[in-house]
Amino acid sequence: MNSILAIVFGIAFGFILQRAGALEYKHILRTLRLIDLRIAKFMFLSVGISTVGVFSLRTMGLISLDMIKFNSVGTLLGGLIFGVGFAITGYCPGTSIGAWAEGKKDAVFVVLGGLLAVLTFTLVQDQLFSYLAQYDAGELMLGDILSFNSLALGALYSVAVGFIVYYADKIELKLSTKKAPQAQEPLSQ
Amino acid sequence: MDGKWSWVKAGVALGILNIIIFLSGNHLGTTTFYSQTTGYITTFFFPEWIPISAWTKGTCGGSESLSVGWQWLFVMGLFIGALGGNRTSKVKIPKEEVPKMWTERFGDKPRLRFTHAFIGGFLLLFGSRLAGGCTSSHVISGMSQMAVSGIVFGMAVFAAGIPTALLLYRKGGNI
Repeated sequence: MNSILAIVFGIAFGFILQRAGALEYKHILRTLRLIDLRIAKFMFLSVGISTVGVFSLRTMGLISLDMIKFNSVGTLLGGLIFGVGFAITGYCPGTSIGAWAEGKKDAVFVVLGGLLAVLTFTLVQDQLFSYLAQYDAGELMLGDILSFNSLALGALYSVAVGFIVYYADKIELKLSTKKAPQAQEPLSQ
Repeated sequence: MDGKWSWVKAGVALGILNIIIFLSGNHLGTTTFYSQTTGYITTFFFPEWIPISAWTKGTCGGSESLSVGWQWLFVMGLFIGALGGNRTSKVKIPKEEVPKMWTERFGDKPRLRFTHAFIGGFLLLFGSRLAGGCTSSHVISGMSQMAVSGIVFGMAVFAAGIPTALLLYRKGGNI
């Protein structure tokens, strides 16, 4: 049953990524070049919505959290390396699979590079993990640090994420209307 | 359903899907798929080289054995879903070997793009394994739980991604 769910959820995820335009190099790069933030807005809006649901359902005892351990050096360094790869490829590990399904050949090379990276990492992970162990902070969420009711904090967090997305959209709109007249100039000549 | 969705529609859809996945007792993630696939391939050719438990160490999948697990099937579904989305889309997605935007900036050099993609893919997954997850598990799943790891990862991705993208396209290029 759970296996069927995995495939069904995967199909839904792939479909949404495709419809959001997240499988396209140009949309990722436009977001990272701060030209068109649609992918960032899409991601963070979904986070904002999920948080309300997750913490409501958690309060009802229907779900439990399952977080990735926070390691101040590992998480930060991993994220920075990931970010460079993100800008070079224009894909992330999930979207490169989806882009491959769409017939984009460059995405196949991203997947292959990824497989080699996992092999390389696995060969050095014992040394890396033993070095990183000193920075391990375990499964940590904002509620643990701020010692605040987690449902209320979740709601607050959702609103904050929502505001960031909303204002990013507003600022983006303002900039694009400012830029528009300049863009039209060459056309009128 | 026609063509592309707005970011609002897509964001709401992903948010709801994410909640349903949480309710089912599972979590979004794709890094484990890479670990398991590499593990399979390597173990097939060199059975004694690397112990099986090493492959998914520190990932959100967490299983100690190599198996076609939840995350593997999830990624298989992702492939099918993206394919289905592509075929039913009214907005035609050009089937290009190299993104047009890239070609306009770097020239018509498919091999250079494939090299970039390979190196970039290496960085993506090396970073993911180091951090214990990728965009799906850290941002979509992790940040929804207010996980400190997800928030730090998400910020780090953009903190490195934005300057890299601006540097790559410093000479302008197609918007």
